[in-house]
Amino acid sequence: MARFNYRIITVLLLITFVFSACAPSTPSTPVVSATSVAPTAEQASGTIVIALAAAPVSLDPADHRSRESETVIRNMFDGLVTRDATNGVHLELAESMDWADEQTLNIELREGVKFHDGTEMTADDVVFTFERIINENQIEYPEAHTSPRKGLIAPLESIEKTGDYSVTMHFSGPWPPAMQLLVHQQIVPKAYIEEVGTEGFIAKPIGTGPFRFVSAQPGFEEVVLERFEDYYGGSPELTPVGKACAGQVVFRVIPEASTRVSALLAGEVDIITNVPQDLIETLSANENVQVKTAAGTQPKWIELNVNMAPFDDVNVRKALNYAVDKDLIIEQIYGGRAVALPGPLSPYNSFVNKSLSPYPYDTDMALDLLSQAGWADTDGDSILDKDGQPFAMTIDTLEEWRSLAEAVADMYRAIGIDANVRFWEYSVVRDQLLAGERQAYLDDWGDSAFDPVGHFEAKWHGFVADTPFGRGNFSTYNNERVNELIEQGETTGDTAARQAIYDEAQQIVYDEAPAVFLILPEEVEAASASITNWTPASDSRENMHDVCKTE
Amino acid sequence: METGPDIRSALQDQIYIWRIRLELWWGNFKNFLRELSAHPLAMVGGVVLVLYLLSALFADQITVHNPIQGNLRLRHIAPVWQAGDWTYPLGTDSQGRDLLTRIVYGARISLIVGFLSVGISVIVGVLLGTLAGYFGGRFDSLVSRLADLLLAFPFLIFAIGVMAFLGPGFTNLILALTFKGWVEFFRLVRGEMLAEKTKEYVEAARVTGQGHLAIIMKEILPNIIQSVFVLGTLRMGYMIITEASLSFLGLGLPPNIPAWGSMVATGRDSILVAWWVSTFPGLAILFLVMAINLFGEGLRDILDPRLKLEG
Repeated sequence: MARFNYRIITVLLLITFVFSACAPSTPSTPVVSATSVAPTAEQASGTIVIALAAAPVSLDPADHRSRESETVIRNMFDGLVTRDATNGVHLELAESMDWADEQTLNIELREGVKFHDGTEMTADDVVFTFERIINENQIEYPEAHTSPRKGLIAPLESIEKTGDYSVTMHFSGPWPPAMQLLVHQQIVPKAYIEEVGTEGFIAKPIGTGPFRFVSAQPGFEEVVLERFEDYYGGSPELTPVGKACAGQVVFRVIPEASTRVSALLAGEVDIITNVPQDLIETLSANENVQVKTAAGTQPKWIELNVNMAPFDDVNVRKALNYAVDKDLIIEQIYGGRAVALPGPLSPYNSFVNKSLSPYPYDTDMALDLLSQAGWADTDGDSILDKDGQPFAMTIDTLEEWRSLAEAVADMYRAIGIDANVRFWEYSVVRDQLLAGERQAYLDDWGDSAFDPVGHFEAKWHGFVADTPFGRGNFSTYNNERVNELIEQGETTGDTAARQAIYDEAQQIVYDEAPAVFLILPEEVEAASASITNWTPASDSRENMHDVCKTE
Repeated sequence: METGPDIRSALQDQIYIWRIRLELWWGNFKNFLRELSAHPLAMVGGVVLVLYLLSALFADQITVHNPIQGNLRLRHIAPVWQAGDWTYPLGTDSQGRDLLTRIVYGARISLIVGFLSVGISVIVGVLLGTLAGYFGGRFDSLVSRLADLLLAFPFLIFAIGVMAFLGPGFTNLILALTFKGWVEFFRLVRGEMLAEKTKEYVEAARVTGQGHLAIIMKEILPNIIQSVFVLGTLRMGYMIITEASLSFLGLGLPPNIPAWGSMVATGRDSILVAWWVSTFPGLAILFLVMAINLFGEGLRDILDPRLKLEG
């Protein structure tokens, strides 16, 4: 009997193992109606289920730096301004905004806007919201800390109430990207948070957005929202204005890309984000599915540690740029849905240096530069060497960029570099990167504001602890002139002058190549054909206000 | 000097002894094959296992492609019966590498991991089990409690924890697999030891004045080593699955090494467009572990005397 069991169990285990990949996903929780959600009178107008690739980290608009969190939060919370799918900024909770001078912004608030608990939004709430972000240690749960979103509004020095529905913001200097970056801050209710604290607020968040919170699974594996009937309508510039179309919206986390696609095909979810490139054709061929793309905002590169041999030699860094066939990668891995990066900024950034073009694919040039740096194959093992040492490199990256990283490693091996790939958890590798302990790191850094601020100073300014400068600088690049230009660019109001500043900065970074500038993939999302009025946004936000589901 | 003839006769004695031994072994082997032929499933398992062993041994000779270097232009070529291209019989993966080549090299990884982890487990388990079972005492209770403690953890979860702690790599993988793998052999050998040491032939050996070491090595171990052999074969399949599971989770070997588990894992994202990338490495695991288990069960029927009595 024992023998029989053993064999059966082994076989079953294996079969499960082999076919788990093929099996369509069974949702970890039964469909929404089976969870604790009470059916509402509006059930008829449909429930839309969105599959996210990762779980939100918090539902507190002031306590996260993640796109998934922002996607969910911005359906529950509105901000002073909002952004449409094509990068235009529009007034939302603000009725008007006027610059009194370069450092002072007067804001008139919309009247009659209600939070989900029925109280009205006033200037007090707006002042409270921003002070909670810019002042130290305002978020007391789970332990007192400063809002991680402070960096997104660093120049804001103070905010004062000038009337029941008007506030004034004071900035430390001219701040050109103010409008684009204010989009990322949402208004929270003062009285409610003061009453229940941050812990209570996260348990039941209340905002002014088109949907109100119903329930969330632990770890935000699933968040259920329902239509807020007293919604003021949203930005009058963005039609349709009024209540949301869908009665209920469910955000469900499905980390596995192929499982997300299967769930969409099976009708378990209505909208999926981060569609893997390989599956776009399959999805496009299905008439029950619509696939849409938006210009990408997550440029990918390999940052090379400029203080660690062999990447302390600019010729080696340039050679690695020439050795990557970006067009082949775009064609084969991304199905043409990506562009080559022309330098440190995305080609869609408002301040991209238009005179730069991507490093061409030229292995002769790469080998030439490498031999100038002293690397040549002297012992005939088809691996480049210098002083008896073979050229070996490890590309550190995250599991999600596996295909890209392995393709680049293949191209490096083809010219005689012993390149390997290693996968990490971002939270583990980040400290090592900032400490300059890693050699080469492939990842991206979002620029959804389409402005160099929030992006350029994070990647290419020398690292300065506890400031936004260099917070994502994984190449340990530190160029005095670039630092200077970055600081100038953040406080120069005149567009032409800013352009000149950023042009110079990009040119320097391009020439010194502290990174291998790779590609910018488009954001690809898919929805079932019954979903209407849905447009993926470049900042990967899912704005569900306008989206409808036809039965 | 009269030593010459002595040496010659001593040598002749040795040759004679070895010839007898070889004949005995050969006879045993023929007996074994005959008994095995009564277990057709075990035969099939044995043949498949030998095929796997051969392809792992001669991976360099029988494959024509590079298992690591890819070519994006050759991405996702379908298997021969779909694409009609014999250059890549089982198709290519998402980096444009020949799948068959990688599976053959993957056999090497799986079998090395299987043999090495079981081998180390056997050595540690037999050593500790012999000492504990034969001598008993405080050492016995100490190691037995440790074994009970380790048995309280599910194997895979334990291995995941060890790998997450140590990080990926070959040595760490073997460590993670043997850290708990020795326990089963320890318990088996200790139990057998306890039973055997009271039997008459051991008493007889003791009366003739043999030392502990001689009694263990020459009298008891030869009587229980067959059980260890059977258990080892059966455990090997389990070790291979565990290695594949760890690689599948990204906790096994570094990603550039073609391990079946990580091949299954990387193919998941493209399963709808290139089903073969995950499926064939999965089948490779399935067939190897099936073969090992079928063969192991045949071995048990043949070698384990008690089971034969029950049967």
